[in-house]
Amino acid sequence: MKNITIIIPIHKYEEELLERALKSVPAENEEYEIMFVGPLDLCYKAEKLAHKLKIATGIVNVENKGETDFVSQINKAVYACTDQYFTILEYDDKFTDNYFNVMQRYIAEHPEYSIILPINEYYEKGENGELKMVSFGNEIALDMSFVDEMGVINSDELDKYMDFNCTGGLFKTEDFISLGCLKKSLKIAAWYEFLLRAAYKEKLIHVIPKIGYQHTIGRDGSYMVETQKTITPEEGKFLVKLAKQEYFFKEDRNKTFEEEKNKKVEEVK
Amino acid sequence: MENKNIDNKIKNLTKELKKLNDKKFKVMFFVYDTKGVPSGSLTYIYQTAYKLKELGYTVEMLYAEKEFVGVENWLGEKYAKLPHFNVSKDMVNSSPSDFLFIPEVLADIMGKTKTLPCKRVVILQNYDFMTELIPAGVTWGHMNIHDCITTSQNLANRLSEVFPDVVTKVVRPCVDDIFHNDGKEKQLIFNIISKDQNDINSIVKPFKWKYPMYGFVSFRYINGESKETFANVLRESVATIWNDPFTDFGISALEAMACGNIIIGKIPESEPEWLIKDGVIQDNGAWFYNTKDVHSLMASVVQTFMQDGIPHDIYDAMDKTVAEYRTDKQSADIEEAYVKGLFETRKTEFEYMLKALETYKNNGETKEK
Repeated sequence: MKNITIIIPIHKYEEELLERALKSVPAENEEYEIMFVGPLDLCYKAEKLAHKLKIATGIVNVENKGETDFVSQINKAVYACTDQYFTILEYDDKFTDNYFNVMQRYIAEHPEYSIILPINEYYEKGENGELKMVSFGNEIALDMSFVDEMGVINSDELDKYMDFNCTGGLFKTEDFISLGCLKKSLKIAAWYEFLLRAAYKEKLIHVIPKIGYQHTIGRDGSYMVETQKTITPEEGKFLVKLAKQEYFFKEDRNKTFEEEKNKKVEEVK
Repeated sequence: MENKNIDNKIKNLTKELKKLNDKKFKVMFFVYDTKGVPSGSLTYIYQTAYKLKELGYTVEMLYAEKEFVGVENWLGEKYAKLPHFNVSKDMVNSSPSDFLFIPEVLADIMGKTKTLPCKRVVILQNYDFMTELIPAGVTWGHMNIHDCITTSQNLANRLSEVFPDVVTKVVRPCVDDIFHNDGKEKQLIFNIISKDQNDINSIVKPFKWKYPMYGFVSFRYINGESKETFANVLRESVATIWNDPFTDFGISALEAMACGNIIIGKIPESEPEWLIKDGVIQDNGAWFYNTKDVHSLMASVVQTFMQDGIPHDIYDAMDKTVAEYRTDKQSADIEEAYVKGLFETRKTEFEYMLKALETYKNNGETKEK
């Protein structure tokens, strides 16, 4: 029986990177299912590559015709997901060799965990194009001077720190849906708002002391870089503030920076 | 007149022999009070006493302190409930069939108990402690002590260099079953076990300076916890930094190993036999001689643990090492050293003496006739 779906959002087809990502997924394994989500033609191309690499046994393509932004892709994929857990692999990232072994051990030992985040390794391109590791991600949750309980992220920690990286995390599908999934209007603060909402609803969020995900940062063409280009620092601040206001609500109330700006203008008038 | 004396001697000896045969003699352990601070040496003595009680012997714990705190808080009720007697208040009698075991550090007690009729045996766990209170030039032999129980052959060999006439038997320390690995995932926490709290500075700070990337790693100095708390704390952590350079055994390192901790340890001068065999350092931990090397070992444990890559071989070697010091091994040693080596030997001695007295008496009577 499969128990983890690996969601791979495809907003662009870059074979070399995708191949690297797919090679970090267990080959021909009954327990995992790959789900490509994006425009169908890109999904088919990705599926073909996965078959060529003999990666996993089940592949599901979720067509996303209109909204190819990250949040919409993830939500759509999660609704199509039939497994107990899912994880997200961005096509320019990769899992570490032991990721799936480690996660299977943790979900067996802690079925009560709703979200399990591994330690990330952040890589960036060096001068000669080679990837070099620059820092860890999520490791702050292991620092006893920061957290009350080692590895546990709750509202207090989220109040002090917002940069937890959720791609590569393992999520209970049912909990993710019951919480209301990600909110598109939160854009780059969508994960932060989701974690706040999950903590508010007393879902258990744990960072485990294992490196599980290698994340490439600052790559031109990546979803994050492309999104960040469209967001001004003022809007960034607004989104964080919005996250702290909106996590009480399950639904996306579609508040926008434009509205906020207009409201302020009205107030001034 | 002489026959009457011999009759009395035979009568007394027969009585003492009967006590030995019926396990009615006393097995007394002199203990000192650590005022609630856990002590590996005392644990060893209490474990031995408890085992002998389980074997049906009459065990008594003796102490001299006016205000005796005891071991209940850190070692537990089962040990604290062994009968305790204050030698300065309670009447503590002894007879030739009894045994009194004295820790190596209490040289004054060895001297004061010199005239007691019971058999006295020293329990030697730390060579340095042995030299602490004993006056220079005085030997155990001077205090009529000719038997010793110790924790390792290494220590027995060292003792034979200074007191060659002392007969030594080895009873291994025991890693209590409370120290076990529950198989659960470990936290990235380094415990520090050290007699010197300043080690925190020399270990933790340079580590954080040398490896700022691992600044999130947590450290926990363990000192004074009860056995249960100690075991629980060890069980949730990945590694223990063990710095006890003057120990002669290092049971706390084995307890940490039993809980599945990788030991990053400074090799003690005494080179315990579970760590160095035939001059070869065992693969059951990450060992160093110089404190400046500890930081790179720590970094490599952090790295391999986070990569989920700590080799199984090291865990297998740890299990193998600990298995040699489990309760069953110590129980077997106790049977061999205490029951066969001391109690049975005492019985045989008494039987020979009795036979000799009876022969002497019979020869006298024949002559008289």
